Amino acid sequence: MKRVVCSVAGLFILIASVCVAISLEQIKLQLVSIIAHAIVKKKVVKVYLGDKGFLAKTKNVNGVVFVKQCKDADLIIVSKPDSLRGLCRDKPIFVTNYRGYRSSNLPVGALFWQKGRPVLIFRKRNLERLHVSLPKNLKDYVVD
Amino acid sequence: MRGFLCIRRIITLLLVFMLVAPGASAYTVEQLLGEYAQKADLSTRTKKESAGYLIVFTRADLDAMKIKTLSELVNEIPFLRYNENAAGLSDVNYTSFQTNTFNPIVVYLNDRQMVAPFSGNGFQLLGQLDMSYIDHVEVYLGIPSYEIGFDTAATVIKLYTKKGYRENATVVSSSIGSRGTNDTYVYSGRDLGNGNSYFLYLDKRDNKRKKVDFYSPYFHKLYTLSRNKYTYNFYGEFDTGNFRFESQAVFGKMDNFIGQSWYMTVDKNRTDFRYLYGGIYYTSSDDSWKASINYSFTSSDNTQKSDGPLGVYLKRISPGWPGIPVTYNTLESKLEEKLSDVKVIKTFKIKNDLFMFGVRGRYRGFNFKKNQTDNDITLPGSKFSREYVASGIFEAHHMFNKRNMVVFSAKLEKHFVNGGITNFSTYGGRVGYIFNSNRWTFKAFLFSGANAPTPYVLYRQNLLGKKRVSPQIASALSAEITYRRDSSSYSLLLSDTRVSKAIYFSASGYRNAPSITWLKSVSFRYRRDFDPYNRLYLNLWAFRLTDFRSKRNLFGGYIALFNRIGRFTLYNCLSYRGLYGSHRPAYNLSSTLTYRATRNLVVYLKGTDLLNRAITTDYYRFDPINRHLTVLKDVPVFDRTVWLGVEYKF
Repeated sequence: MKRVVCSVAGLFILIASVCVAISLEQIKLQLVSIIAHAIVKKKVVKVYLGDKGFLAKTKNVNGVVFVKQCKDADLIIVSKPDSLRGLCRDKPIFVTNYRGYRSSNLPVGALFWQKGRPVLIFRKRNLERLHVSLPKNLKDYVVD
Repeated sequence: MRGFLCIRRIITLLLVFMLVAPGASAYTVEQLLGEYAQKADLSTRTKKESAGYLIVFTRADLDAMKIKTLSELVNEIPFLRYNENAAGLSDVNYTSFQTNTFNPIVVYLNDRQMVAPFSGNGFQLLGQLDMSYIDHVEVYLGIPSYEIGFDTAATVIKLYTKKGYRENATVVSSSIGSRGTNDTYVYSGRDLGNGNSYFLYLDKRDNKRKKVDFYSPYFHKLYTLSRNKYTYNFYGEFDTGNFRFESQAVFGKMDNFIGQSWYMTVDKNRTDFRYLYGGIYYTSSDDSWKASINYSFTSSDNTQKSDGPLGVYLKRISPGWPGIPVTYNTLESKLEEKLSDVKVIKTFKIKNDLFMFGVRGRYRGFNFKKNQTDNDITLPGSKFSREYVASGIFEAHHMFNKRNMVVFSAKLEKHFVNGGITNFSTYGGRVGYIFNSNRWTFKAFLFSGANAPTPYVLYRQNLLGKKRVSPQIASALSAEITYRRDSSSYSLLLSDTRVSKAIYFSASGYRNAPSITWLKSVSFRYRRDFDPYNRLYLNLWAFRLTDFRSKRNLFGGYIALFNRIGRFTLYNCLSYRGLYGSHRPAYNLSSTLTYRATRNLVVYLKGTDLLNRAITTDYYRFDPINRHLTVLKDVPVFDRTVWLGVEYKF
């Protein structure tokens, strides 16, 4: 049931994002929401955003709540995953930077720029390690 | 009639396709990412609406077009008609018997003005070079703000190179086209962390143009005129966030078409050229300070051989006599050009006001190392060989509230020239008002300024022993209104320009026009974004020039469609230019079909001038001794070319 709710919510967000003129920050928030709900199967996902340059203003919308400490989060979004310490390293980590993705084995996925375009990618090995099953619409973004 | 039906059929097909294609695709995460890319391109990049009337060609546009040269973009820029001069170089302002008296287009590569120290025309330098290292393009119509660059013109084209932190890849691409035209490039860009990134690019291009056959009844011989260009282009950039180091090297050989040949009887006309550039740019973390230092060196060796004469010089027989005219049929010349500048800009932001002050010092020098004709005769040269230009700019923005804004800018420039030419000053000033709401944008600008004669004009005038011509003075009033509704936008632009003392070439040298030149223009633009990957651009415009010699009306427009269906990306553009002198209306259909075979491999098929009805130009040459006119009519300046290309990302 949760999966259906998540999928419907995701679809709604997608359609809304395309039909209504939205800002860059709103698009990023919606992408964070899709990624968060794809990795963490909860109605409300607690997200720690370590990369302040990715989002200038964090706003608790679309079932995402931003927390200040990484230990309190369900999902960690950073640009340098290796700088995380302790328990935070065991949580699902998503990176916003190509270098951070390539230089570390920790990230479960990444959103970075390549060839002038944003690229969304999920690492199969880490998805399996964290027992994450992605919704159908994101299966194409999984790489070995 | 058949041609018209053919064009009508194509337009109908394009419209049907346009209506059907967007409905065929469903919304996906890919489309949300597309929206992200588009918004990032248009908002966080360098779009400066207050700077002027702006048209942006985003990375997605250029990628879909698989753009090969800057000349292709001219079809989608209002009020311009692409043309090539007698040397086969890009020149929108080309008219027979005239030389460039001012720059109708100013081209910037990032923040560097592309300017040839001698001819002054940057569009000639870049018009037919490769574009694969360019990320996106901004085109400013009218005279934009000095924020865009110290040197402005009726059209300012800003090319922004790809950035390492947005590439994160190594890409190799190769394409082969009609007549053996081929192009290979490789680039690598990486985000190195801590704000550092690099981008390196190397391109080799063999641009084989259509040959033009010319039968000379005077010499009873068929001549084949060539405009081929063979170039290597290297571009490198290292960015630390605050500092950016830029370098470029272009090496090439080109065939210079008719060149100076009086009878178009060219045996050989070849130029080997080298362009070397290095620059350092500084931007403070809060953007309040900007500084740069640039140096470029250009060297070109030209060899011309012709059955008919290339020119004439006065051979002195005895002192006191003016000499007898002697023609020459071969010419070997070597020109070296240097350009360097230092620039500092300081910006203050105080509540709703912004103040910008800038100063620039520029040196440009050129030297004919060789200018030798038959029998080792060295042609006389002008003493004018260098120019120092000191410039100062000031710009102020005041926002009354979120919707209303006024802008004011001014520039003063002092030219210090050698060779006995009197130093001179130029100036410019601009006031504007901008209204912006969710649906409506209104902009109006009033500009007045003096354009310095190009160094080429100063050189020729000095050589002829004539008095320096005065700078021409342009005053322009323009306004644009834009209405946005959902995913559509409509813009109407009107402009009226008055040019006094316009510089033109006459039999007795360069002169200032005796009466006012008027330029009136109107443009309508429409854009519809069906979704991030399917969009339509439409532009219709008219331009009228009235000077003391003639009246010229120029009409143009284009319709362009960008579509994505599954793994295919399509670009189709039909452009039109008409009623320009005696030339037939010109239609240029360009199409690109891109297939993304895998995540890393892309294959594309691209065609330009598919209707074989693109712009043509007439060339005239005159023998002043025998009073003989040679005419070469209807030479296409675009070649019908089809490319097949492949691109692989490592």
